[in-house]
Amino acid sequence: MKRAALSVALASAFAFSSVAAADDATTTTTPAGGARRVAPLVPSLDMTANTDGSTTVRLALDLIIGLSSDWDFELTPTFMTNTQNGLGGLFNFSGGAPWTAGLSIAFLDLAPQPNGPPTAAVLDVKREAWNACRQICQPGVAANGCERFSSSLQPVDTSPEDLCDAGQKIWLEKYDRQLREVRGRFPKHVVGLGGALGSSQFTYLASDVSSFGAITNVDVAPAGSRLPLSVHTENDLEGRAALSYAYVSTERPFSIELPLTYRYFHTAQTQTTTFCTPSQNVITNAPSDPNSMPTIAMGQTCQTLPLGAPTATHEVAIAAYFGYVNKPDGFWRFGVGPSIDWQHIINGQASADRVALTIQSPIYLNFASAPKSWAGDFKGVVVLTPTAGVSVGTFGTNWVANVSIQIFARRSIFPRGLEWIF
Amino acid sequence: MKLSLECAADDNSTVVTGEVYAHPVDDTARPIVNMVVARNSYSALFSLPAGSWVYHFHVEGAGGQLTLTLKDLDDNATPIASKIYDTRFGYYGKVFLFAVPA
Repeated sequence: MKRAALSVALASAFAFSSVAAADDATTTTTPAGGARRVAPLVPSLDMTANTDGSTTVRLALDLIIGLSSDWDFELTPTFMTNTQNGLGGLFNFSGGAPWTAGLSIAFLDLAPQPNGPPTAAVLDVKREAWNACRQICQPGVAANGCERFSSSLQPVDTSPEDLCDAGQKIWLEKYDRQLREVRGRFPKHVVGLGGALGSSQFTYLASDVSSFGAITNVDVAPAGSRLPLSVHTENDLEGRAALSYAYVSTERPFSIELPLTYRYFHTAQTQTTTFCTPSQNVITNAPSDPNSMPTIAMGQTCQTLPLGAPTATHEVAIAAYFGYVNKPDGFWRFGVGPSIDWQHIINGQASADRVALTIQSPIYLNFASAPKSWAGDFKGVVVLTPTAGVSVGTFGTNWVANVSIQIFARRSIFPRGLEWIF
Repeated sequence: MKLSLECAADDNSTVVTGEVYAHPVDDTARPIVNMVVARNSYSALFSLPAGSWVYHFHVEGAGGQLTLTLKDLDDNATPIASKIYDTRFGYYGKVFLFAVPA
């Protein structure tokens, strides 16, 4: 969980409607209803720019499959990448942009089904479905499900099973699936698990003993530090894993979130060396008088590269956030709780550890929602996270105090699985 | 009259939950019998006088096809009404109409 991040998320709020429409197109006269959402598949694109200059992009597809009346299964294939050189470096594929491919899964225990007498929404949709059937099912018509429809029953007394095909389709689309989306906005329990693997490419300067075997002869170069450097390029493994649990009370606006994340990543050395090679000469003062002599300077091409192989870091972070949720609108929520972030940094033969103990309070502000025709969630959210604490380790003790800002757009205001790593 | 509402479902996890109202139901209707819950091997028991009644319910669990049967316990569990439901048509808004004879 990287702090001090400025995230920019781009996601097409209209894309899901086309996806949903495509999904509906497959509906036949025998609708497959029940545990389905209005929009089972939504895309999301997440762009993150950190204050340290690195940038992260996350592309994901969020697929939800109904397991039963109360449980949904979420599958989120994710591609993510980051660079230390700003947005432009993300798409420099020849330079080995560190793309990471991963998958998150989550089990969602939906909010309870409503009890009580038929609500106005139930009656409205049933009336619409019933009217559609009454129009289609004229006397003598026994097709299109009319054989089971009886106009002598009032809409409120008509079970979905008794509607004609068109009526059942209206019922499933306008009530049943919408209600499932509503119940999925604040699931009672969500368990998420995710993992991603990829590689990052580093170019650096290091001594190459095998190439300079003659020079390493002690008679020629007794001082090891005088070994010449050569340019190395290597691909390093990047790994991410996350396990998360979220609880949202159905009776009260209260939530608990427990994310546990792991990252294995490489970082370029901060110490650099600049080296130059001769290039074409340069005329520095182009003379206007043909008889005067031009000034010619010797050209050099210089390059600055990190000195030494990149460091490898294992990072484990765990947090517990206790929060308030603005329900049912979900316009805002906040959490507060402790976070422990442990880093084990390997630099060649040496290693160092750092542990940060902080209190964080992420505040989520929803600035964009899905169209009202869809009861589900697809939110654009700004997250402000004040952090205060202490960092202890091999490098000494430091106080930590910062505020991060993040913007994202996705199905839920509650992060799941790999969404906890940014 | 003592009644038993039985639920025969494809899956043992399937549960029906709802309330019984006097029929016809209007906007101000209040349930006559609350929390009428039935599943395989678990019937709902309640008493109602003669008349026309309606059970508004939803389905929980794995779903699938299920059959509700209302039986008269005062008369050797004689079936009074029965109807087949299917969660292909959704989990909500289910209606079971029945009449209790005098």
